[in-house]
Amino acid sequence: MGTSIELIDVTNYALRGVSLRVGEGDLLTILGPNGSGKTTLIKAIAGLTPYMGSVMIGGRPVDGAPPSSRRIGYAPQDLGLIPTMTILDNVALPLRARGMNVDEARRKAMRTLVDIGFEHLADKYPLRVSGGERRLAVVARAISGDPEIVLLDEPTSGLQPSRAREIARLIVELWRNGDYTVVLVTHDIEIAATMNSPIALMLNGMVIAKGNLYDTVKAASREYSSYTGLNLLACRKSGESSYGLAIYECEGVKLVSPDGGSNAILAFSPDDVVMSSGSNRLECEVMDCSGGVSLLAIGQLRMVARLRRCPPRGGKVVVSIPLYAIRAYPS
Amino acid sequence: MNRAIPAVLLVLLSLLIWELTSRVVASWILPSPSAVFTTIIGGQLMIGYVLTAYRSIVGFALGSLIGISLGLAAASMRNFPEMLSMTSSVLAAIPPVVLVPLLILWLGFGDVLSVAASAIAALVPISYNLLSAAANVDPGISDYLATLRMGTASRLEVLSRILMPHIFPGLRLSANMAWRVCFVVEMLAVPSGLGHIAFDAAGVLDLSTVIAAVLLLAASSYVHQALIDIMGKTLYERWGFGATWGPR
Repeated sequence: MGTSIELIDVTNYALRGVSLRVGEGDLLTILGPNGSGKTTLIKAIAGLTPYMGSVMIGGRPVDGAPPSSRRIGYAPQDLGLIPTMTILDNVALPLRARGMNVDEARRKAMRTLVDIGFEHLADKYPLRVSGGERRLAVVARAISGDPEIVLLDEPTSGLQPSRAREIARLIVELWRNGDYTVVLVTHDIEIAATMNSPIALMLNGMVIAKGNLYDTVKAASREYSSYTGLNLLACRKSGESSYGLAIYECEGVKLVSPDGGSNAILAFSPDDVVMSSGSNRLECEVMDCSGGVSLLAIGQLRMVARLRRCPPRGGKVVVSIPLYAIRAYPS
Repeated sequence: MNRAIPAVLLVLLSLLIWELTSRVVASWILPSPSAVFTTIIGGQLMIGYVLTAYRSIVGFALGSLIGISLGLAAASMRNFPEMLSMTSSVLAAIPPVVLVPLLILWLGFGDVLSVAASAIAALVPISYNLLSAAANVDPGISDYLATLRMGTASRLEVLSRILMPHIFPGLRLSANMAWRVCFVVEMLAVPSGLGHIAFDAAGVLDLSTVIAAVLLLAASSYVHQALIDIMGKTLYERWGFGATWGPR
């Protein structure tokens, strides 16, 4: 059932004292904006970057051990597919590296491709397939060598949202049927919601919250929003509306949004908060305003808005959030 | 096809200027294109040409083979040593022709000398190219490969697949160098071949033969490179590289 991973106070040029545990056969999603240290964290687990502190795999410290000794299936963000080898041969690579003969490795790799419904692309070269198919080929290669740990670095990066969700669902399905621990890194809250797994939220090289998506966002939404500029609110449904809409209570404030289930993360951009009367009309206090970005407060709730003009600090302002601008992610 | 028209026009224009100039200067200073053309089709260069082509092609084949093997072997070494990279840069800076006196001492005059010089000339660009490419492998690929426990055989196999696209630009340069160096060595130390014929002809002011030999050399080197281009482009097309990849 895979193996456990434990990081104890891991520090380097991008990480600041990260401690984290992933149980045997678990799936952990690491969510964070660009530059938060997600890729470096995954590389530290793989042994691909130097660090201080300790990484334990299966309860044993592996610090200083080469990446090849860690039984890892790694899907780098840069893909790393070899363009002069077919998709089948790329997927067979970890098996060939273990000394398996060509035919047997290809047969086994083909089974992995069949599992993900990808067998029709086996003989194609990586640059001859779409971006989504390449991403999927990298995932297939990461799991084909019977690894104990699968590290997936932004496996849905650069894809259309619907395709990205499809791949995220497939990863969850593969993990359920597989025999390995998975750590997946993403900057996309939608993918984190689709994974429906425990989340570690990263910011500035630190894990600032861990748990399910709702609790994680609830614990760290202010910090996350002020850093990334994306408003993330952990909300509970307080009433049904109509036309697929629901009323949510977020930190004591009621918002109407597309229905995202009983617990949902509501996300909206600061650009969509407007100074006019419309849906979700809110009277807020101006906490701060600089560079055109205002920090607004309504009771305990904080949100970031890019208003046309900077309102005076400490004053009141009436804003609204259009329904179309809010995305609701079940959590 | 349309893109070829300006090139053909330029060649025709150059021939016209050459023809007109040759009518106002003495033929021992600049023979006319027609005189050179007559020399080429006259057949007196044929045996020399066959010898030069044979030496250049065999030298190119040997040099490329050794160059590719050396480049791959060096690139497959774990923790690719910096010193090796420096050594190859220093070797690449030495013009192969300066090795001719040494080669004469070791190999004497004749076919072996010109083939060896061509092989050395062909070896350097291809191996240097592979070493440079190996030092700049896509970080995604090198990170991924680091997570695999590979034996030497698998490492070499994978590396050859990774570096394959970088072989063609090196081969192109190697072909060019092999022909050029063979010609120069024939001029200096081999009593046969196009280079030798050109050198002898210059001594008796037979410039049509000299120019005919040089043109044959240039055309052959061009065709050789064009064949490598076709092979490279076919493979690039198959792998799906864009038009900016490889020789154009």
